[in-house]
Amino acid sequence: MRQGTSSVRTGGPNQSWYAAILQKYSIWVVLMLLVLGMGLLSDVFLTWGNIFNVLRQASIIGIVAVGMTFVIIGGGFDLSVGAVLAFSAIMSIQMQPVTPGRTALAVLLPLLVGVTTGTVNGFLVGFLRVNPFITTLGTQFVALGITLLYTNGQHVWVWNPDPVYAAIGGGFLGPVPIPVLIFAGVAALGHLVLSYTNFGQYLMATGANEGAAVLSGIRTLWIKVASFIIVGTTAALGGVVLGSRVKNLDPTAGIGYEFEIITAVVLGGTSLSGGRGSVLNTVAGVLILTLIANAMTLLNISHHYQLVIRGLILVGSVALDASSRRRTA
Amino acid sequence: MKIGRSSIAFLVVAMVLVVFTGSITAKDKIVIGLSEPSAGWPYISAYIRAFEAEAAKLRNVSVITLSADADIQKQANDIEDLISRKVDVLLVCSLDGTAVVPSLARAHAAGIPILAVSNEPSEAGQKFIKGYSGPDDKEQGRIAARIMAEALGNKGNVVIVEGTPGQSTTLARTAGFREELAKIAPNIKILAAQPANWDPAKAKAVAEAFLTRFGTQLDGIFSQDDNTAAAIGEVVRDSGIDKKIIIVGTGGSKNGINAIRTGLIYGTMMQSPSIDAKQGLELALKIVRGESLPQRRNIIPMPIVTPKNANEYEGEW
Repeated sequence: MRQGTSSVRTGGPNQSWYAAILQKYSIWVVLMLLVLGMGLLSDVFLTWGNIFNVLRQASIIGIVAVGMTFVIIGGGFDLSVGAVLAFSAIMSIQMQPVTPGRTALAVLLPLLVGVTTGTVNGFLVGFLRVNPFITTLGTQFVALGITLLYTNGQHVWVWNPDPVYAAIGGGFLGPVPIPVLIFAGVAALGHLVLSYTNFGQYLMATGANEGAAVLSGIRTLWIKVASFIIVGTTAALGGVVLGSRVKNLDPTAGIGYEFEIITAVVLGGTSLSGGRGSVLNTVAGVLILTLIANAMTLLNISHHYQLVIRGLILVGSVALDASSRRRTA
Repeated sequence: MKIGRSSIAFLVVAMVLVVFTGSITAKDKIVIGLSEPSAGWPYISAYIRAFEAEAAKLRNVSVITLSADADIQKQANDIEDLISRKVDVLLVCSLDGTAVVPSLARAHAAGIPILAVSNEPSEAGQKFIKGYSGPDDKEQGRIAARIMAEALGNKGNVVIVEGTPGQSTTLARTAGFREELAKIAPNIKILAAQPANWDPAKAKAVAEAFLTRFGTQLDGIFSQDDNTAAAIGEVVRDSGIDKKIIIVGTGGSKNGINAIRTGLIYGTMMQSPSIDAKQGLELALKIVRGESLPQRRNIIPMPIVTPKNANEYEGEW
């Protein structure tokens, strides 16, 4: 049932346990190599300030990527996350969180929107069997349209936010930025749920072979709905963090974030055909993407070269990851 | 179901009447086609509202506004639609100054006069238009350079946080800024330029990397719109850096003016969507009446805003 999820199974008897772990998490090796390389190229890259900056920059995309990992493992796909994230961020700002009470609304209402859109997507895909690509493309347009109606096409901002609201995106606990803690918490929770609960097992089974999963008694439709609710909620949470981080946004913000999020998940080795993936590797994928952006800016590489280099690193990482997987198979 | 002869006759008469009166009003009324890049952009949205409100004051003018929703292909289709609806004058705010050229050529070939508004088409498109009305992105870059040079006393190190790479607005603002600085303040050095795609979250990431790399060497930041400039102002404030860094934006938006008043950023220049829209409508009507435009490029005023005069201005968008 856990077909392809465990490389230990395919490792063979004479393979040592650390080689197995190395193969399972080879994308982390790629990340380490990039970190070392950048450390050599720039003397400010490996400073605590920069490391925490990169982690904070990764956190918004990262929170949503954890949710996206679930939905893709379950055999689904969600293009609406960018629009849902933007709508949540804008709604959060529009609540004008200048008092503790309004801050509570600015957090809870967007989360409710995330759960709702996730539920709608999940039902359309799970029960009505509409293709997830088309479904979530549709909800993306709806969310974008509602955002424009809601804001009347105008910029939104909150100028003197409540300290608690400002802390969500801009605060620190000791030296660690709060968004990083939120990201770490979501990733840890996601990893636990995916790896150590029945739900995680059922999700993998559903994505790998839905027919077989149904035969073995898994209620795959509900599993799918749940996976869409998870991604919807993480998109909304990412939106709240974004809203608090910038406190001023255009109604068209967040468009294109879905591609970065999906890229991070795939970079982390989660199979687009479902049934296989890991939250921890998604985290590595997110960090690689963010690190590349940070490195390019630190080295002041022109945008044209940036595209080429970014493309090469992405293709290289995926190739390296795939070849190490093949060796174990 | 039975339909009586009389009701069919009534329908025919009604249809003829509709067509007839329709053609009369179409001839009576001046129809302006307005192709905009995205009604979701605050400036454009404010422009459209001001334009339609001004036009509504004139009894004989109707406006067809189409929004391309930031999609180059959709703007081409929108212009195609406006051509087939035979508008009297076509106003185009190009999403991309180069990509729009084939559409301008088609409208020109169909005999529809074109006024470029708010965002100028590239060189290749110039021969198809009657003229341009709106702000001047390159001039905005120059004005930003003047604000920066004055605030820094003509010396220091600056960086540029750009809009979306390759966009004509981005290219023009960067070029204007670089040219003017080289001319009036050759001792100001531009250390780096990186894109943030008009996204305040990305602008924060870029500014953080710049601060990491250059630290106190940095004296000024030119960010190509007010919202990214304000976001960068927060980064500088929160970085605890013990130095005044001059941040200049462009636009004169509500957020930008407020950021100047609260000290987050130093300066910007006004770009008023209502003045832009009013002038666009006036010039469009001139074209329909067969009058010539005052100039080929009719640039709206773009006064400088700094802490000295920020209380005299209100942002419109």
